[in-house]
Amino acid sequence: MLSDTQMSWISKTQSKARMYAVAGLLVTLVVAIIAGAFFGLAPTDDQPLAVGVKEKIFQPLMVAWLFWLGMGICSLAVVMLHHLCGGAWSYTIQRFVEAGSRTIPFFFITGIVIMLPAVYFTDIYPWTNEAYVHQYHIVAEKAAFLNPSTYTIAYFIYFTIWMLFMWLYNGWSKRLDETADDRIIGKMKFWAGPGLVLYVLSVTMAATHFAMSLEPVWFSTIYGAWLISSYALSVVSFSVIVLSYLMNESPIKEKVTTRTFHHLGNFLLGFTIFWSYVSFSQFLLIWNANLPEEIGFYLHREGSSLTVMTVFLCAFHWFVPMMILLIRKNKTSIVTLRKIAYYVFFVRILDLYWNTVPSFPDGHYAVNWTTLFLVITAILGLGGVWVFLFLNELKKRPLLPVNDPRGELMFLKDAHGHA
Amino acid sequence: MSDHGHHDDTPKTYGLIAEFDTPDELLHAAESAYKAGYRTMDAYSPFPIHGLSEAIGFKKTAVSLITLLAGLTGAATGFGMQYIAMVLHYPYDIGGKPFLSWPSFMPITFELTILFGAFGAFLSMFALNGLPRPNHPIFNAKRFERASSDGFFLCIEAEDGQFDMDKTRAFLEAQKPVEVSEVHA
Repeated sequence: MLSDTQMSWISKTQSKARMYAVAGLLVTLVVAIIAGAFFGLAPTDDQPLAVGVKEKIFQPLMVAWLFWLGMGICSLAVVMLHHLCGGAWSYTIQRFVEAGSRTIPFFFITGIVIMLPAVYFTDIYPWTNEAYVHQYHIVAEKAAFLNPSTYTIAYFIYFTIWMLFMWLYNGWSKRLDETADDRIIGKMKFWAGPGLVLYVLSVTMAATHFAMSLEPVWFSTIYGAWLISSYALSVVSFSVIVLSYLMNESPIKEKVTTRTFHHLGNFLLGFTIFWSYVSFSQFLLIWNANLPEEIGFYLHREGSSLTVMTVFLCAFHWFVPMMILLIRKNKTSIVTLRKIAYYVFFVRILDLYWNTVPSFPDGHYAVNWTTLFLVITAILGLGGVWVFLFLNELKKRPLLPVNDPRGELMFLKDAHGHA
Repeated sequence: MSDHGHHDDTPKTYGLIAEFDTPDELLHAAESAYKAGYRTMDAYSPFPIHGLSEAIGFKKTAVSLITLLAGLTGAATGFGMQYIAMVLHYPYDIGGKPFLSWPSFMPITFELTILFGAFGAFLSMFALNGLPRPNHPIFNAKRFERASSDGFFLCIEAEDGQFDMDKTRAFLEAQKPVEVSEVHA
């Protein structure tokens, strides 16, 4: 199914990923234990949350888990988007995102090991700390949504929705490959709409539970859109990277033109702008209203090095990539686009750091360099495991759908007349 | 013309046009014409053909640069207007915020960037194409209405330095078109 060159690239990348996984997770654990034991925070009357060894271990793992979660669930969203709207750009990466969506069970299991213990056994979620809830009346008011049982039940509901659609779409796709029964295409089209609606609703809720509630006094209704646009950036840039390594051989070679990169580059551009639109409007509304229960989020993110990081994100997560991606020449060359995609993929780490870590008591008002280091090693470590599993899934099926007549049609429409 | 007492019965030539059956033949003919040294030519087809504009030597236009400049002008106008109103002419204390509350200025700045940018793109495209233009000599071409249904045309214009009625006709005939005909200006 896959050519020898493709297979050797996959196994080479897999052994590299294994190395990253072991090294990353080991370094994270060791450094987190040392940092927690010697540089922790004890609770005080003003600040009732403790930061000890447990918290130091779980903080970076949670951020890393949130970083990679998108590669599973947003891949599923791109699969459904493809069936909803179609298009030559998504046709070439369809099997990548399908393989990505099949890693959702990995997040289901690692989340049970990372996210749920963080709720039950650590002070990372302030709403689990009685003294904290007592201090902030507004958090007590949210107890129906923010309590360990609701969190756990919701966790299982989110993953039930995501795994249901993962199972449906991957099953249909496999059967279409085997039987060429075009009634399956009708089902894929029909469920894509409801599936995407459920995706957006469930990710908005999940973003509230998993990430927004780290700062439980605060709330923002656009937070889910921030996470969705962030995940879309990750998935599209990751697909560009994988495509660039696998496109020189059949079956992808015949179906990839400069138009394909141009489309993918435009999607990166679109989501870069959407990300900054969402991030900025959240800030604008809260800054203008200046309400005590909302403004805390931004006050925690103000201070020498964190202000520098904020400006850095404006410049290098929005302005620079946007200007580079506005230029057509940069989108029609896969070599350039791959560089941009690597850049966009990894600058996401800083944005996720900015949105989560300053909510922790030891992350307020300045960049916590230890936590930043731990977040990076945890992302590399967990990412090693994820990339390994992703490539395992990727090589199980042909790199392009075999019996989907729409694929050929989309390709012809897009590249008509191309010699 | 007749006022001058000068009669010229032979109408001026706009160019020579060749009709093809398929997009591939048109693309191929356009590539050969460019290789043969022709530059002032145009191709006409019922739908966009990828690679055709490159084949006839279509160059990047100034539209993108003009759009960028117009967008920047819009940003400066949007921000400047608010600065003049809110900081210089009518400073007003709103919720204790500074007069130069730049985050609040962003929506208008953004909107005017888009507005000016869109105007820049649209108007410069119009102007650079020489539009509006009610008529065009190419409409004199035989069977040209098929360019919007199933005809694929390549027209080498008389303005081209290398244009020669006989040689250019021979060149076009060699591309195996359905027909080659003259277009009157």
